[in-house]
Amino acid sequence: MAIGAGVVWCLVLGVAVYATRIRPDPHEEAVGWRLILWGGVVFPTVVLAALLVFGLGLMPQLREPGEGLRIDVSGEQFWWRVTYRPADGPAVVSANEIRVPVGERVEFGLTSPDVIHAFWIPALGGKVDMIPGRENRLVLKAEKPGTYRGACTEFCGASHALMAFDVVAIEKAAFSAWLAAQATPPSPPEGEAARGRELFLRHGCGACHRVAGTEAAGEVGPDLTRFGARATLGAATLANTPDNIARFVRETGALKPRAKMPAYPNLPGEELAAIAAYLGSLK
Amino acid sequence: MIASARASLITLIAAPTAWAAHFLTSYVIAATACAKTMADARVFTGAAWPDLTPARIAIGVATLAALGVIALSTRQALGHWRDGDAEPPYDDATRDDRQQFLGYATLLLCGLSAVGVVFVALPAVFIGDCR
Repeated sequence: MAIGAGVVWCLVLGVAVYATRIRPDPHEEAVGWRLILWGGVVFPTVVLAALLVFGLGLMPQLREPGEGLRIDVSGEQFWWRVTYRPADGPAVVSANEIRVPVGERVEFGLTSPDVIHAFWIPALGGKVDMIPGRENRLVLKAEKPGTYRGACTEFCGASHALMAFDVVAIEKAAFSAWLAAQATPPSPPEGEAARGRELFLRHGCGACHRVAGTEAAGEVGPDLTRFGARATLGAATLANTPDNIARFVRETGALKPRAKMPAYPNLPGEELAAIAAYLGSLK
Repeated sequence: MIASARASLITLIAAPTAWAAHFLTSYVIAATACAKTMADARVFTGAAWPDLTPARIAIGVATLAALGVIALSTRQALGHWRDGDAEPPYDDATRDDRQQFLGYATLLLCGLSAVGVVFVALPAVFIGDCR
């Protein structure tokens, strides 16, 4: 496409240079007519028709269903609820990070429980609105392994600009193994992390957050079962480090205005550190 | 008024009008076919996509009709263009200049409209469902 555009650009400038510098004197009328007919009518019509036919030929393929894996993503103020629904096997719930197998057409079901959001991974495809009360679908295929950034692209409130996510594309075999491993809860924490879990449950975090294998079963906020494996926290707001976890719990509203999660400024530093250690250990 | 030995603004816009009508017809046919068969509901029910063959045939018929009108308009415009002894650019205040100017302009619009109609119809050839 870029080469074609370059060729057309060179042709047009070439004619302009020819007419103004190389042979600036008037041309015969018949030559002028021929130029208009071929350069102004036939050439653009044929090129545009070829591009249209080429583009239309690709469209049905873009809209075909995915190859089996379906990922439901719900845009919520101001994070992403992610549910993997493999063709065979149980559904896996996660949040704020999406893993996809390389080379497979993955079908996304997009919706929202609150306001209109939009789901966009610029490197993989076009943006699609997430509209309360209906489900939009989008089929994407990652060609190369890597981490791609996605973002909410419909203004949805105070923290709209802090509502992003990472898409991690990995090889098919690795993806299958990863998805299968999600079915079992993470191994129990030890040391400071074990104390962190106790504090996590005692302070009521489990009312909103779910951690599989514990009594924390809330579904209001992001699922934290594999929180430690994510590269970011707060829907790609901060890097996932112990200090940032503690900061996020202590001053949620300052880092993420109008997020539903309350801030916990009164938690002692060592308790925050233990909770951060626990969350970081969930891999 | 449209079929007339004398070129006028009406004969001039016959072909673009056929193009506009064809665009509207194609759009309405495709939109109603998808809306009436509740294509959106497929997402929830898993039902098959509705068959669009009747709509595609209807768009094909509308395309042939539009191209037919444009062909007739082209034939008439050729007659108007050759009807007189004026010389380009046909800008004198005479009957022949007016007739030949309008005939020539109509001819160019016929070409544009024909291309427009074909481009509008092409999606019906390639896209067979409501997705």
